Amino acid sequence: MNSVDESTQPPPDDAPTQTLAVTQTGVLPRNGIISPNMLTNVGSHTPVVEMHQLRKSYGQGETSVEALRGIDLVISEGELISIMAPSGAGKSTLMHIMGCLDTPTSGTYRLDGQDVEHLDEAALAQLRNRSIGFVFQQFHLLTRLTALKNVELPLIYAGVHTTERRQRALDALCRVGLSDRTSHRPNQLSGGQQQRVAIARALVTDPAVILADEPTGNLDSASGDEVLSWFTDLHQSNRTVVIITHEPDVAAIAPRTVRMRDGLIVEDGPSSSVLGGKVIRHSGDAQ
Amino acid sequence: MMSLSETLRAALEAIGSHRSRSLLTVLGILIGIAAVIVTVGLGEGAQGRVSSAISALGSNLLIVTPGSTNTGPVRGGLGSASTLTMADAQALSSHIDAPQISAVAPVVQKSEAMKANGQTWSAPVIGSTPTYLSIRDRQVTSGRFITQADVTNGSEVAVLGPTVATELFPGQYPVGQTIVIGKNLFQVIGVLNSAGSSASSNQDDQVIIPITTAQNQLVGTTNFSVSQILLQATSSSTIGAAYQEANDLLLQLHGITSPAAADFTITPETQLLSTAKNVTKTLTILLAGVAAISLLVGGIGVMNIMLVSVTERIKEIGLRKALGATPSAIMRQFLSEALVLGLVGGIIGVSLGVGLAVALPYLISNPVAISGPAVAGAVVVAAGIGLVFGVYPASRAAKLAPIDALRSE
Ligand SMILES: Nc1ncnc2c1ncn2[C@@H]1O[C@H](COP(=O)(O)OP(=O)(O)OP(=O)(O)O)[C@@H](O)[C@H]1O
Ligand SMILES: [Mg+2]
Repeated sequence: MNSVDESTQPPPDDAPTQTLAVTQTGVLPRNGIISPNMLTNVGSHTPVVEMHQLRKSYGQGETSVEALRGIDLVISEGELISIMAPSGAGKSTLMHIMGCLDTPTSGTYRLDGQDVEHLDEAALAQLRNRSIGFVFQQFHLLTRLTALKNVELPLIYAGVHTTERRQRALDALCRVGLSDRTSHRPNQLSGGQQQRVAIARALVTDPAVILADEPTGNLDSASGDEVLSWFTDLHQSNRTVVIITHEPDVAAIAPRTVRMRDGLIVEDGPSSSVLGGKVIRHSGDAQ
Repeated sequence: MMSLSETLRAALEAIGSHRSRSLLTVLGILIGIAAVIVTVGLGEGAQGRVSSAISALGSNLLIVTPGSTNTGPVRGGLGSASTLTMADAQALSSHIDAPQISAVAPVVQKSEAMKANGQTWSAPVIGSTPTYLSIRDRQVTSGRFITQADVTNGSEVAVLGPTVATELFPGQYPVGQTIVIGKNLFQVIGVLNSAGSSASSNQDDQVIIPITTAQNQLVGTTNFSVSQILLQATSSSTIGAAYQEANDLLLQLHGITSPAAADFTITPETQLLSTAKNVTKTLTILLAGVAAISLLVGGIGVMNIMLVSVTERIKEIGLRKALGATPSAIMRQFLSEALVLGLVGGIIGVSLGVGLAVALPYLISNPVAISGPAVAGAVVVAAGIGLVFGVYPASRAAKLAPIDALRSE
């Protein structure tokens, strides 16, 4: 739990690389102003997510809806970033494309250095398996399986052998403090614990990015805070984490926040400036 | 990629989580497999019985009867003029003209009332020659059979079938006693062994006398006509050649040029029984067909429940895909579940079928054969049905778009 208090503290050695990341990828906030705060806590300069003029429309003709209308976004290795937007702005759409669950209508997307365009279903599945860890709002654990078996799932599809798989799943569960709950089924766990199992499952393959869509959406604020603390914890061990939310105080745990509206990025910068005075968090998490 | 044992274990787990539903699903396959095993077993048992009856009769037998298949059998038989004569029988026994015919027995037959010892009885009286005994593959248990001398002299001697012997001489030794057949007195010279009753006739309820005596005293024919001629081929493989020889010879003797105009018919005796065998076979195929339809219905049941399962687990499919399951991995998962369902149904069905096949002979008198290949085949077929009917649901699952699957509520 003490990791919560450190959540807004940037790892000091990340700062020097930031300038490079910005110039290399040319990602600028919509207002074009780079505040000094933006130059902190971005992680190493290796880009993990690179999106350029990404568009996504659903349906055709009259009824067509353009959910994403030209997204430019670069996320570097080791970053913890929030994508914040009101309902219907296209957060889930962006997350699905970022997670290779869906393909963009136009624009380019490189994940972990690989262009996802022209990849078939099987190749996308393998890319997801290798490079993405998902954390969903509804947890999406298989109720038939124990916590351990749930965490083992992605390793099964990675072709990892039984003994190694078991060990790595146990390690991941330990990592989120659930070593005493490995043989429990989801319905024997609290919501917060279930989401921690999901986090363990997301990190067990050591993916390039962990994507969390409204990870606290189904949790009360106490277990929500606890789950968020595990994301900051992951960030401290240099994992790349993307949190998608509509709540400013969830977004605030990340050093960097991207604000979206109507399928566009309207602001991208340090959370303190993007969120401004919107964060109303209880004591201990105050900015 | 998951290993085979892992895939199967996962399938068993998934099926095990819906135990009663899975059991109901495989009920169709189960019943179908059990039904196939029992019907095929019953059919094979019946055919086995017919086969042993055929071999008991002596399989190289040809029977020549008057009349042709084209004009229908000559009505009246004895008493009316028959187209077959003793001369025909004589000619057929020539080893030069008919080398493939090893033995010939002309037969005159008539049902007669008989009396002895204060008892009365009625049975077919067969007039024949000494070769009848070997052609019919019979033995005498006491006394002797008719001899060539009996035939030449027209002796009034009779050999009794075991049924006639016990009916007329209960608790007595018949040989040496006298018996009245029709209006004539005969001396009993022997008793035949029991041949049992076959599908066609009762071989134990008959009396055999010399053919000449039968012609003179029972039938009163003067033209030496006979009611049938029994021919034995040298072996079961020469039965076709023997048929040809007999046919050619008789056509020639009767002065008939066109085979279509033949005034006699030659029938292999086994044909009658093989017809019976074919009937059981047809019946077996029919019943097995009905059972197979139940298998088909069972397969549709599997498909139905697999489709339900895919719809129910649409989120699971989406999640598995999100976690890196390729379409073919999902396909394998659902196919192996269908396969295991079929296999479980097959194994339970085989146990049930074999159990019934073992128990049934105690309840009904029919023998039931359990054939190893049929049992193994049934299991394979059941698994195959699961697999085939699992293809459609599995490919539906494999084709689901991960986001659609994840989004569904
Ligand atoms: N499958 C779809 N077909 C048609 N339109 C869609 C589809 N999915 C999303 N949309 C539309 O695209 C837009 C963005 O949807 P998206 O789900 O990305 O929003 P969101 O930001 O995640 O909203 P929320 O916070 O409510 O989850 C919405 O207008 C939505 O109606
Ligand atoms: Mg959403």
